[in-house]
Amino acid sequence: MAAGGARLMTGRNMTLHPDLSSLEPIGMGGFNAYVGPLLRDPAKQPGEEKRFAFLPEAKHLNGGGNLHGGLLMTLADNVLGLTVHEQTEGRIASTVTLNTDFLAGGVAGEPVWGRAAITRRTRSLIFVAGDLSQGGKLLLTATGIWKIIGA
Amino acid sequence: MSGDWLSTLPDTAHGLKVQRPAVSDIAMPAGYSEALPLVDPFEAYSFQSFRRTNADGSVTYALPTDARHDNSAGVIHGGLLMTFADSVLGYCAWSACPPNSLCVTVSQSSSFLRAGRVGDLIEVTPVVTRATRTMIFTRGEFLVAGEPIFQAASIWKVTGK
Repeated sequence: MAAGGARLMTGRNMTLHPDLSSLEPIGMGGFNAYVGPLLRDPAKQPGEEKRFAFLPEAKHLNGGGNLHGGLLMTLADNVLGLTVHEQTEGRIASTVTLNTDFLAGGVAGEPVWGRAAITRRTRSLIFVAGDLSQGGKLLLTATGIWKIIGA
Repeated sequence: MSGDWLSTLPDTAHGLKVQRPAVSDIAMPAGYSEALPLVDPFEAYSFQSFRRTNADGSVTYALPTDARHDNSAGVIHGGLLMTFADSVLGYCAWSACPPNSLCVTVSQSSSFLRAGRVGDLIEVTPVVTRATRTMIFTRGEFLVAGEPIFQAASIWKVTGK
């Protein structure tokens, strides 16, 4: 976890986006290396606006010059999944279903903000809803169900 | 492991240099004849997929997975599956899209039947379930060794260019 806020890779230069200075990067490997770093504001609670953030670059676009739907769905999976795992007492939960609606196109270079909240918890399932926005505009809304493995 | 298909891929897409991390170590799967050009920068950046056209005219797509595609639990990241779905259902939707128009994803529903494992070859033959003047409905069942692991259905909005 970087000291002094979030340092983001932009090409070969490390730059600090002013809106993201109070957030901390969440270290994740594998496929998340393509969609990271994802940042979290440690002062905010689940459901609060601008709790998660990601600064997209040109490599995250689609052929039309908008943020790729796969990138936004991956961010939603991570924002909702991280929120779910705050409720599992260390147990792993996996996505059973994720429904995503694309409300508007997003651009590179401006932070995408994310938030999620649990809507229902059963013994083995966690229902969660969240959204992604950019510049005050909703890009994506999502609902999902996670299964607690072994429960 | 690099095949001739690698030299057929473009270096730039829409004026942006395409980043292809170590794509040269991905071999063309048996039974496939073509590497997807992946003109979307995010797809070119995060995976390489392949396709073949079947005798009945349908198209089957394949996605080889490796250690670059797992999540924190060590299985294939749902984001990769959803991105691959958006890609192949998109090819399918565009094939039903009228001339001089384009289509964008309005909604995608994704269901995860079981975890994908690093090294799995994921295959899908997507279909258009309905096309109207303004909307195209698509779906796909994603298989590993013939067994479904993931399914997706999406709705595309047809817009003017």
